[in-house]
Amino acid sequence: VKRALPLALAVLALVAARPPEAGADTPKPPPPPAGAAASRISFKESPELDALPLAAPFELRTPEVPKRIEAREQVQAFWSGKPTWHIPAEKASPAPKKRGRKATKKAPRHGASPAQPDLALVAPTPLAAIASERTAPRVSALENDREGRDVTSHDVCFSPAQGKVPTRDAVVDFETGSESVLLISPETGPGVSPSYPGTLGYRSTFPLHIVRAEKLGTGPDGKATLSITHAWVDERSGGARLIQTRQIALQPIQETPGGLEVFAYRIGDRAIFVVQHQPLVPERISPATLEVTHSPGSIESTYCHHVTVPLDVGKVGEAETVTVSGEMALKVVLPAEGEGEERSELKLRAFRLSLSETWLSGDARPVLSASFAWTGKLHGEDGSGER
Amino acid sequence: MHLRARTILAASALLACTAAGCARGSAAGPAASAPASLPARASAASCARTAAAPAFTPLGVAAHQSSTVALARFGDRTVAFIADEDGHALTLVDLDRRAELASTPLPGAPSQLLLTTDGRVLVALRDESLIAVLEPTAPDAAMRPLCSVKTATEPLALALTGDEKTVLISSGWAHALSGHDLASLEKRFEVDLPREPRAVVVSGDGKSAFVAHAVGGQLSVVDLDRARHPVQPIRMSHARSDGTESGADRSTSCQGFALARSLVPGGRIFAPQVLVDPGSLEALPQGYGDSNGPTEQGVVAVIDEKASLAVQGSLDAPAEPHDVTAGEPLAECLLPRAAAVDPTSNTLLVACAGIDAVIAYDALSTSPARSEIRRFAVGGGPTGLAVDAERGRAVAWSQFDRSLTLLPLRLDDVANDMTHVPRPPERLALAPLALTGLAMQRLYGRHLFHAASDPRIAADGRACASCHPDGRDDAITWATPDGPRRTVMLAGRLADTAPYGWNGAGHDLREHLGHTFERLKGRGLSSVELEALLAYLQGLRTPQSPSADARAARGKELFHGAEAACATCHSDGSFTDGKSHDVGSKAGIDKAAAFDTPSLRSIASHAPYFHDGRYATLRELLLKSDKMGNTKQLTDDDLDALEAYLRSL
Repeated sequence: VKRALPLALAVLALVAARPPEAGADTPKPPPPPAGAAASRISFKESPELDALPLAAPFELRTPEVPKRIEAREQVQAFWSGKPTWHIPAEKASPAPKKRGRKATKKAPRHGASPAQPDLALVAPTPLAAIASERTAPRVSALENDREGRDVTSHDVCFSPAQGKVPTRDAVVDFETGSESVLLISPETGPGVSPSYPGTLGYRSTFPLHIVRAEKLGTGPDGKATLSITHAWVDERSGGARLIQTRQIALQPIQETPGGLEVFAYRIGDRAIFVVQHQPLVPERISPATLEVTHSPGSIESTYCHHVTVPLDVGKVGEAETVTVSGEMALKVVLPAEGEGEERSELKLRAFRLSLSETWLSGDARPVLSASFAWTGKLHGEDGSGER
Repeated sequence: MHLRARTILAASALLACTAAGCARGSAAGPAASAPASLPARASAASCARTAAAPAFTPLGVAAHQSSTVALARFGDRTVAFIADEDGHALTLVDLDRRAELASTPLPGAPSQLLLTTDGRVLVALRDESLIAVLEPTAPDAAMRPLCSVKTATEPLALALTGDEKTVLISSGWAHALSGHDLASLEKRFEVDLPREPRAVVVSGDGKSAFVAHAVGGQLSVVDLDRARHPVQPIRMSHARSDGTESGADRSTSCQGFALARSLVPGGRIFAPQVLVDPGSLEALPQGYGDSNGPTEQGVVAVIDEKASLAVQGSLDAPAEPHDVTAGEPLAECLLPRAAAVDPTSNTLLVACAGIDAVIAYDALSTSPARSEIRRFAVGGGPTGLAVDAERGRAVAWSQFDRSLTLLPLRLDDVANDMTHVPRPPERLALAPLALTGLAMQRLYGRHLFHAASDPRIAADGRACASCHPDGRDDAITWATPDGPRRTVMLAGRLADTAPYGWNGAGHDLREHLGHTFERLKGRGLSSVELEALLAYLQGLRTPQSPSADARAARGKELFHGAEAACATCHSDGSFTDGKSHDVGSKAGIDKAAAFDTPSLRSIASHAPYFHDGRYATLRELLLKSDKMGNTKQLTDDDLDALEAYLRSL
C-alpha cells in the first residue's frame, strides 16, 4: 500500500488532466540524450567490449585538503548547503546511518503525502547535496506538491567517499550506491535528521568531504555522455569546491521494452554500464526505485534516474552479473468498448535488466551481455487487473 | 488459476483416454505396428545403415547430444523424432504440416535418442538396457531396425564425440559411462561414475565428457584422451542466499538431468541444477529443512569447459527482491529436465517439469538464473528440447501429456509491445494411447508427484519429485522435527515394507503421505488424487540388480547365517521385519533411539546409509556399525561376498 499510494495519486492527477500550476517549480527530468538512444527496442544485446568508448583508468587521489570552504563557494554540477529543515513530527526518525555496499536497504517510495502544516524545526542541520538550489526548500520540508508529485530532481546522483577522507595523496574510494539527495550529519549532537526517501545519508566525524556527482547528458556531438564531478563539500558552511570534472562518452547499447536505456563504456577490460530509467510520463509520475543487486545479499536501491553499474572483471576466470530491477509505469491502450473510443490506462509492471561480463578460459576477450525481462504481470496500482 | 488449469488438463487427458476405449499399451497413431524386432548386433556391419535408406539431416546438436526429441530435415520436411517413453515408440511428426507421420513401436521404454549424420537413429531403451539402432525407410513409414546392443543397466543419454567415431552412453542405475564405436556399436570402454548419471555432453576440443548427476551435488568430467579415462568431479553447490558460512557448508545440489553446450562463444556448458539447503542437522525444524530460508532454488551453473570449473556467480540463487512486484513471484524451475541453446539469439532454453514451462535465459550471462528473458507454457512434463535455429523456433516434448509445443524464439515481434503477454504456444498432441484404468490412474499420479509450486503438496513449491527424483532419493540428509533423516528411495521399496518413515509412524502409505504433506505445509490431496498418487508410487520399479554369482551365494549364506545375523531383522522377501530397533545409532539431536528397519531392496543404489546418512558406502556400514548384526569381524573375503549379495538385492 505504501508503494502504491504515490503512484495512485499520480494516476489520479493524470485522469483529472489538470494543467500544471502556473509557475510550479516542478523540476523537469532530464531529456533523453538526443540521438543517443539505441536504434531499436530489444530484450537482449551483447556488445563487443572493444567497441565501447575507452575511458582512462579513473583514480581520484586526494588533493590538498582545504581548511574551510565558504557557503558562497559552489560548483556548477550541483548545489550544497544547509537548508532549514522542517520536518513533520511523524516523519522524523533517527539519523540515517552510513551505508556500505553490503547493506541491504530499500527506500520507501517517494512522495507519499502532501505537505503537513505542523512543521517542526529540527537541529542540528545536516548538509545537503542536491541537484539545484531551487528544490532545496522543498526537499528540506520533505514536501511534495499538492498532488503528491515528487518535486525532487533525480537527474544528479551522489555518492560520498568511503570512510574518512585521507589527508592527501591517497586513492579515494566511493560508496557504490548513489542517490539523488545526499545528507551528511554530524556524528554527535542532539536532535534528529530526516530519513527521507530518495536520500543517502550518513553521520560524519569530520567537516570536509569528497562527494561524487554523476549526471547523464548529451555532449556537443549529440552523443550520450556521463558527467562525473568530484568536489569538496564543507559540512560546517555548506560550501563546495571543485576537484575535477570528467565527461565520458557512452555507447548506446539497448532500449528495452518500456523505455530503459542502456549505455556503456569501458576502463581497460572492465565494462561500465549506465542504465537510464525514464518515467513514461515524466512530469506526472514519481520515479520508482531501482534495485541494484550485485550478488545475493548485496542490494542497493535508488531513486536516481540512472544507475552506473561497473562490472568487476579484469582477467580470465572472472565474471560478474548485476541486475537492475524495479517496476515501470506503462501507458496501456485499452480496446474500445461498444461505440466508445480507445482509452489508455496507466499500469505497473515489474522488470529486471541483467548486465553481465564473463571472461572464461576459452574467451579471447570478455563477453558482455544485457538482457531484459518482465518479471511480473501488468497490474493496476491497487494490484487489480493482472493479466 | 494455474493449478485449476493443470487439473483440468490432467483430467482431460484421462477423459481422452477413456473416450478412446483405452486398453494398455498400443498407440492409436498412424503407421503403428508391432514392436520392432531388434536383432542383436552380429557384426560391425549389422549396425550399419543400408544404402537404400533415405537420408535426413540432423538439425542443431541432434547429431551430437541426445534428447527425447530431435529435429531433422527430411527432404523438404522438418521432422521431429520423438522418444515416446509411455508409448514405447519412436514417433515422427512433420512440424510444418503439423502431422504425425509414423510411429515405430519399440520393445522397451525409450529414454532418449540421437540422430547420426549417416542417417541412423540410436535409441536408448532404459528398461531393457539396450541401444536400438534404426534407420528410416520413408518419413511417413515405420523405421527399419538394424541392430541392438546391450549396455550397462539403464542407458539414459547419449553423446557423440567431436570426431563422430564414438558414442558415449550414460547408464543411470549402473552409474557408468561407456564408449562405443559409432559404426559398429562395439563397446570400447566403461568407467564408473557417482550415482545417477544423466545427460552427457562432449567438450568442444573432444577431450572431455561432462556428465550431469540427478543427485550428489556434482558434475563428472571424464577424460576421453587418457587411457583409463579418469573422472574428476566439479562440485555444484554454493552458499545460500544469506551468505552464511553454515549455509555454504551444508548446501548441495541435485536435479542435474540436463546439459547444453554453447557453440558461439564456445567453452561454456550449462548445467541446470537445484540448490538445496537441507537445514542445520543440529536443529529440529518444523518441516524438512530450515524454515527460515528457501530450501530449494533453481539455478543454471555455467561450466568453463577448459578450466573444468563452475563459473563464479553462476551458482548464485536469483535472490532478487520480489517485493517490487505486486503479484506473486514467478514459479521457480525446481525440476529441470532438458536444456538446449539457440545459437542465433544466444538463448538457453530449459524445460521445467513441475511448472510445465520452458524458460529462456541469456546464454551469455554469468548467472543465467538471474538473467531470465521469458518463459513459455508447455505441455505437462516437458523432458526434451530441440532447436531449429534457421527458422527461429524450438520444440519441447512433454511426456506426461505426449505433446509437442512449438516455441517461437524470435523476440522482435514482441519487443515493441510494452504490455506483451505471450499467447500460449501452439501445441501438437500425439494420438492417445490405449490405457487401462490403472495405467491412467498412474499417469495422473505421476503428474501429481511432479507438481511443483502446488500448495496441495508443499507451501514452498517443492514437488514430491524434488526429494525423490525419478521416484528414487536425493541422497540428502535433511533436518527434520525428529532429527537428521536421510531421504529414502521409493521405487521398488514400498510393497510389503510397512510401517513407513524412519520412526515407523506411518502404518500405511496413505498415513505416511499425510505426515509428509503436513511437514511440507501442503494442503493435501483429495481422495481421488491420493489414490492416483499411491498407484503411481506402487507402480514405480527399479531396473534389475545384477544377478547373483558364486561370491554373492556365499554372501547370502553369511547374511542368513547366525554369525552375521543380518536376516534377524532384514527378514523375508521385503528384507524388513517391520519393527523398530535400537542399534546404537542415535545421534545427539535424535528424539528417539529406535528406528524402523529399512528394506534392503536395491540397497546398493541408494547410498549413503543409516537414518542420518552417516555411512557413505556399504563397506563402511559393514565395518563400522556396532550393534546391527555382527559384520565387523568378517574377513575381507566374506565382506566382499556379503557386499556382493547385498548388491544383488
